[in-house]
Parts: sequence; structure tokens; C-alpha cells
Amino acid sequence: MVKMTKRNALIAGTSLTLLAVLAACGNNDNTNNSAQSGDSGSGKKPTISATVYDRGLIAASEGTMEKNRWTKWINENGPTNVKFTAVPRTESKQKLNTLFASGSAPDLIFEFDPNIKNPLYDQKQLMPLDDMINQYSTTYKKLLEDNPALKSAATKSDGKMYEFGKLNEAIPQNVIVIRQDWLDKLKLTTPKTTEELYQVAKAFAEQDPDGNGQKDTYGLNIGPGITDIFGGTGMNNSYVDESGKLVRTWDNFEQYIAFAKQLYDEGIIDKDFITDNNGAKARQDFLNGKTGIYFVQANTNMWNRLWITDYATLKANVPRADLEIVPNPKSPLGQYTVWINNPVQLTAVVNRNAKDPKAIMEYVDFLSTPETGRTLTNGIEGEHWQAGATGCPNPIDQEKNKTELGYLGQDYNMIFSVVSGGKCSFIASSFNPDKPDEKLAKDKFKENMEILYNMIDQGAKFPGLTHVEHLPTVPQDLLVDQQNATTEIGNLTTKAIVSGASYTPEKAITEMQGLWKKYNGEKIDAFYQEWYTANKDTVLMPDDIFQIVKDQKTIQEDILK
Amino acid sequence: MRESTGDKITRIGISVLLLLISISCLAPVINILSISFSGKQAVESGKVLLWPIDVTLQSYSALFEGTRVLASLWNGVVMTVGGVIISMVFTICAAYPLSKGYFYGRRTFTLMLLFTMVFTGGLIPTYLVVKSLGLIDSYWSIWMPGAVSTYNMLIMRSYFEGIEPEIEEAARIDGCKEMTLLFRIILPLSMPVIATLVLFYGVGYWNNFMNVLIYINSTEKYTITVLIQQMIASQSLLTESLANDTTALALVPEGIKSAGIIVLILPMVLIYPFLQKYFVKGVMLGSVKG
Repeated sequence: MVKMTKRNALIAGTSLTLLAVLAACGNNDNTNNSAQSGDSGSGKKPTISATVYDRGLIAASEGTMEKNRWTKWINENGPTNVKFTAVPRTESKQKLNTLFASGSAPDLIFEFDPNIKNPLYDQKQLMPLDDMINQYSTTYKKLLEDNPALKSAATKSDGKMYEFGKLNEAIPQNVIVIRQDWLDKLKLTTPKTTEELYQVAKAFAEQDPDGNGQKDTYGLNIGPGITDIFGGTGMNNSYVDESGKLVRTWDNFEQYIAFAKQLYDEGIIDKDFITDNNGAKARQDFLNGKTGIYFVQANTNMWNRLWITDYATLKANVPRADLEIVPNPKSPLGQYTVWINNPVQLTAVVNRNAKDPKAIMEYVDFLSTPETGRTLTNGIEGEHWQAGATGCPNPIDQEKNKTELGYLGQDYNMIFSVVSGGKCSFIASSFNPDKPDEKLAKDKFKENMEILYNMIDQGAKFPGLTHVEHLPTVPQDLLVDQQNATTEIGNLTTKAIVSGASYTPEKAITEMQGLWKKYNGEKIDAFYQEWYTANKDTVLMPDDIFQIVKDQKTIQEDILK
Repeated sequence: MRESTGDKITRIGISVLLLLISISCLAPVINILSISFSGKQAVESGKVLLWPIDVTLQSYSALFEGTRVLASLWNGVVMTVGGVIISMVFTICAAYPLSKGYFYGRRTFTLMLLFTMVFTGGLIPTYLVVKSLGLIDSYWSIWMPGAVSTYNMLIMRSYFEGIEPEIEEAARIDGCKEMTLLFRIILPLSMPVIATLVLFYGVGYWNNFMNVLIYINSTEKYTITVLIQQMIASQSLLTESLANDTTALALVPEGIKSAGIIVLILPMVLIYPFLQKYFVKGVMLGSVKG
């Protein structure tokens, strides 16, 4: 009897396999068919394929990133049928590489990272865009004419445009905030130089500003933007232009190491900062009221996280906490601005094998119109938003929008320029001044912008040669060397900070220079020099970035007044 | 029999050591579990250690309502169950003949299989093969290329070889043919190795991440592992990238991530006790009596 049962089980198992086989086949066919019939439902529009980031954040009730109310909206209202291919946001390099290598990449590829797109250009996988823009485009063409920077940024070494892009708000990427209540308690003032920064941080760590009788506070955290005070320490970006010649700078490394080393040796920073590679520990310390000066990323939605969510948590933990913004202190090397968001950002390329450039161009034009931009950000008027007092969209039902708009981000209209959308597209318009916490975020935003304007007016320098996204990717044969050099020099920086008095900053710099030489640094420098000589007039340089900041000042002040 | 003092010390020492090891394995899991049930502010201030603070189910409701976790959980189950069945059938079919001395070409076949342990086709060539077979975007692209793990097959072959030949002889004298022998004698005697390999394959399929990512194009077929991995990796993206991708940057709160991790590991944790009994039972079944 027992054996019979086992045999039955086995038969059952085998039939289950068969069933699974059949079921799986059946499923595939069904989904493919339904996807196709869904697309072809809306007439004789041409069909193109495009990527969209998948972040795993879409609710099951909304469908998938390839098929939901917004893809439906795009296909119903746009000039083309778009078949979307989802690219996992965190693995887009892998995914795009396999898609291209196997010849199944979509026509239109949306991707932020230049280090993914530049190799595609080198491998001749991309289609030049000049012809399709000239022949078919209206809206995007006008955008290019009005903003030559967008055209020059998209132009590659062969003189043709290969990327679609957008204009962003030029706003600070990082911010430094200080516990004003601690400053008041210890009768100190906001630090204006790196020396004062050190003094204040030391006082915060040693003079028990939280008054609990224990030495458990940190002066500051080694966080985003701290190296920018000293001019930045990006290996590909540490150059200065001396009458047309690029000179690699090491002083910024040396100054930064000396500064951080002193903080480390005197116990002013968290000794475990090395292992805190995503800043989670630093944020916890800050939220628990243990950190006096907090370096943090604060562009776009990170601004709200700092001033709305995190400030509330900090206040819950330390009710008397009071935060103020610190302008970047002046270092011995001079005054540097904070890092600024890339104002001219390239976000889309076209597959060389795309069949219908006209349809692609029409779709890009469609995405560039203000109406599309507004819908794919705020939703549909009357359903998701209504015009508020300022004339900008105000959400009707936050909860509903969270589900129905939450996954949108800008993932379907990555080429939509802030200038096309008018003032409602600016972040400053998104704050609701009727809510106290959003009003504070708005006021601080205004303050932070004024700090940036003042710095630029006073001739502060940009921390780096230019924005990294406008630098070229070094050729394949030097790429590994550059990556190794960057990693090892980064490690050496950390080593120099934590190794005590015996390992001086000067010694670290000598070793770094040795490493740079070992990893073909001279060849890499020569590559950048060659690129710079050929392109310095067209490429987006700090002066251009500052000019964009100034150009946007009027509209920013109009919204923030 | 009385334990000597030395034995006692050794025993206590071993127990303490094992206890410490199991605590060090369990503590992170308990920590994640506590975070998933804790209030947001407590989590972000880093106050939650081994016990939830401000107990709430918010993280779970956000996870289940705001993401495709249920759908992808089901996908994970389909892919794992299907994959385990296919892998086990093929592994047994390969291991059994290769365990027989009288099987023609045994050595050649074994060497051919061993070859695949050392050399692989590489990502892109494999992708091209899978694509030209028309398997892209179906779970067959995960199941077929990796149906038999050579390593697991060798484990099974060794186990089959270890079964006493006397049992086989006795069965043959009773009139058993090859298939009956395999199904009625060998496999029932091999429950320990079957349970082990089911677990190996199961964990392998469940945790399979890269293959799903590369071969599956429709996000509706993504498994839970891919979903949770994306939630966790978005944080590192935030800090590493200057790529300005912040408007839509997924700031998945710690609590939701932890809830996701718990949902991800739960099925494997639940299955283990059921397989465990075969490890014990099977060992005794394999013994030759008299």
C-alpha cells in the first residue's frame, strides 16, 4: 500500500510538471497577445519602443511600468504608440548592455548615466539626431534654438548630436546645516572659514552642547559636499585651467586630508565614518541630536526630507533643536560654491537600428510640450489636481495621488525641460505655504538660493573643472586604470585620515602622485587635455552654470517672494 | 556512564560556541524583523535593536498596497516550484545512469558534464542562445540553461553509488526492471539527498536575481527577489550617483525595506522544517540490515 502511494505521488509529480509546462506556455502567449492588441487598439499610429525605469514602486492595482494608466494616456494622446521596455533602475547598465549586445534594444533609450551612454556612442550603437530634428521636429527644435547649451552638450566628437536632453533648475546639490541652539548655548558664531569650522566642531564635540554631562556628541559628519569646500576631490575633475592648459590639482586633496585628519585625531568626528558608506549612521546621529554640523544631500525631494521629515524627527528627539544653513566656509585655497545640479542634462539616446526616426521625433516633441510635462508630473486636471492660488497644480487627494502618481516621478518624461513648464515646474512652486512645515522648507529654500547667488556674485569658484556629467568618458583601454586609480587614491585618502601623526598629508600626496603615475595618469591627463583643447568653447563650464543660475534667478525670486 | 570533567568542559565549550554562532546569525534577522514592525521615527533615529518600538503594521500595509509584492511573491513561487521539479527530474535522470558501472560511455559523459563546471559560455553568448531559442521573457530561460547543476548531479551520483549493491541485486532477483528499481528502490532510499538537493535548487531559484533581471523583460514576471533587491539598492544609488536622478529617486523607508526582506525570506524559513525530517529519516532507511 505504502509503495502504491509513493508511485501515485510520483505520477502526480510528473503530471504537475507537465501542467506547469503547459500553464507557463499558455501564460506567455496570453500576455504577449494582450499587450499587442492593447497597443494596436488606437488606430494607425506608428509604433515605437522605448525604455522606462522600473523602481519596483508601482502598486499592483496600477499594473506595471510597461502598462498602466499613464502608458495608456501616452498612447491615447500622443502621436505614436509606444511599447515600453522596463529597465530596472539599479541595474540599468547590465540590462541595457544585454539588450544592445543581442540586438533587441528599444528605439528610444532613457538613461541618466553618461558612463553607460558614452560607450554606446563609441561602439557606434547610436543614431545621430541632427537629421531627424531638422526634418521632423518643431517643439524640441525650438528648445534647442533657444538654448544652444543643450545642443553643444549633446554634440559628440564627430560633430553630430547624439542625445536628447533637458534643462534643469540650477540649484545646490548639498547643504550644510548647523544646530543653532548649540551655537547659542556655547556663545559661538556661524563658521565662515574652514579654521572656524574646525573650532566650532571642536567645541561641539568637547563642550557638551546637549548638556547631558557625557562626551557623546560629534562636531560634524564626513558627508556629501565636505570635500567641495576644498575644491572637490573627484579624480576626473581635479583640474584647473592655466591659460588653456589643464593642470592637475593636488592641494585640494592635501587640504581636505589635513582638515579631516585633525578632526579624526581629536575625536571630533565619528571614528566609524569609514564603514558608514551610505550615510545611514551619520543621519541617525543627526536625528538623535548628536551631530552639530550636518553635511547632507539636499536637492529636489531630499530637500523636503531634510526640512520636513527629518527636522520633525529631530524635534521629536530633541525638542529645542534649531537648524540653520551654513554657507560653504572659505578654505585656504579660496571660496568654493556648493555643488550645483546639472542644469543641462542629457537623458535619452536613439538606437542606431530604430526603424522610424520620424515617429521617434514626434514622440519626443510630444513629451516636450508643457501639457504632457504637466500631466506626466501632476496627473490629470480635475482628477488629480486643481489650480491653486498661484495658478499651479494643487493635489486634490494626497492618498489617491500617492498610489496613482507616486511611481511617475519623471520616468516617462525624462526629456522635459523645466523652462518649458514655466514657473509651476520649479521646485519652489511645490511648497504649500499654508502648512507650517512646508512654509519652513520654502523659506529655507529661498535662503539657500540667496546664499548661492551671493557666492557667485562674490566670485566663488566651482568645486571642480566642470559638472562631471559634461566630462567625457576616457577610452576603454584607460578606463580600468582610471577606475583603479580613483579607488586606490580614495583608499589612500581614508588611510591618511585615520593613520595618526606618523602619516602626514604631504606623504599621502606623494604616494597619490606615485599611484596616479603608475596607473597611466599622464595618459589620462593627456586625454582630458586633448578633449579640453578641442571643446572648451562649447562644453558647459562653471561660468555657463553660474550664468544659468543667474538666468533663473528672476523666476525663482518671483515664486519665492 | 559518568562524564569526565574534561568531556564536560568540552561539551559546555562547544555549546557556548554554537550558541554564540547562532546568536550572531539570528541577531540581524531579529533586528530586521523588529524594524519592520516599528514606527518610522524610531527606525530613523536608530533606536530599534532587538525589540520593535511603537509597534505598527504600517510598513507591511505600505509594502502590500504600494508595491507589486504579492504578484512577485507568486512569481517567485511559480519559478521556484517549477524550477525545482524540472531540475530534480533531469538531475535524477543524469545521475542514475552515471552511477551504474555498466552504463556505456559513462566516463565520457561524466567528463563532458565536468567540463561545464570549469568553462561557461559567458553572459552575452548565453543570452544569444537563449534568445534564439525563443525563451526570452519566459521562465524557461531560467529553467532550461540551468536545469542541471553539475555539482548537485555529482552529489546525487555519489549517493546512488553509495547504495549497497546487495539491495539492487535482491531487487533484481525479485524481478525488478531498471525503471521499477529506480522508482521503487533507489529513490525511496535516497530521500536525504533528494531533500538536500530540493533545498539547494529551491534556494538557488528563489534567490536567483541576475538571470531574472537579464532574461525577463516584462516587469509583471519579476520575482520577489528582484523587487526587494531594487528597493534596497536604490539607497546606494542615491549616495553614489551624481547623476541627478533625484526627483523620482526611490526613498524607500527602512521599515518597508525590512518588511520586504522578511517577506522574502519567510517562505524558505517555513519550508525548511518540512524538509528537515527527511534528513534524519532518510539516513536510517539507507542502512543495510543483518
